[in-house]
Amino acid sequence: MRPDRRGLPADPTEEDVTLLELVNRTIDRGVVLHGDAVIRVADVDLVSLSLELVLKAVEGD
Amino acid sequence: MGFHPYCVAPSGSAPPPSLRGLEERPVRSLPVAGVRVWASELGTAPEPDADTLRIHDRVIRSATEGADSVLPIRFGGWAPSREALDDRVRPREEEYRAALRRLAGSREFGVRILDPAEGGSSDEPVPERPPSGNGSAGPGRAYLEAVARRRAARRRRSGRADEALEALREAVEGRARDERVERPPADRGLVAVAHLVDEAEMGRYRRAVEGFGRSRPDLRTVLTGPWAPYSFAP
Repeated sequence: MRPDRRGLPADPTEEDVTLLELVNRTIDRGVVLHGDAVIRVADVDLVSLSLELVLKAVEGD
Repeated sequence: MGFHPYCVAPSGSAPPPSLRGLEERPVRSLPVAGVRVWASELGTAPEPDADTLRIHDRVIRSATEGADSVLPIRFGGWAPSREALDDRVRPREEEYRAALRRLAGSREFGVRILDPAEGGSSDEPVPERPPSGNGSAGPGRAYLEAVARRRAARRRRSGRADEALEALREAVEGRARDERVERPPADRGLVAVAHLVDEAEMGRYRRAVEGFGRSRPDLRTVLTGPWAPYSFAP
């Protein structure tokens, strides 16, 4: 996972913010049912992951 | 065949037959002790990306439409078998049922407050400290000045976040049942708040947050939701 310190763009659209809220909620909140078999998902740096996902979506626009 | 779980729902809840989850798989309502787990059969754990997370959330949203409350499950809960899924849910079943009762009839909203004036100076990199005794005062002074600037920017940012949060609390007083506060890194806003709001209060709550946004043109306020109660699940 690429460690990336960038977050939202300087002047984010509402879509950027909504995506960040979605990522935060789906991978960082909610009931945790992780087992050993999914350590590769559970074990990543979730902050880097969320930034990575936001970046991918923004760059893909 | 494994299972990707989306949410814990009350007994009796059932997904619409047309609902599709990850990889276009049907969504099933699996009974586990006194609750239901909405899940799709998947051979392997799905990778998290913007599309899969949107689908995960879409299924959870569908569940909220047919039940008083649901508990979203964090993405990444893939279980290799039905037995493995049951084993993870069953020990906390009482806790889940209590949370379903507590959250009944409410939805989550997100308020993210951004400071357009913030240039990210609180995250300004500090240059490496020069070796002592090199006879050059310049780099040492630059280092100390950079440290001082960053500390001052962080103090300003923290004070501004505190003030904005208090003003928001005043604006939504009586409209939100509960809150969770996040102080994000500087590049993701000043403060992010999740509010738990009764469905009957949603219109008044929205207007209160919109009024707060209009009253604070120095800040940018972004309201998202309603979401399922991700931030209030056990």
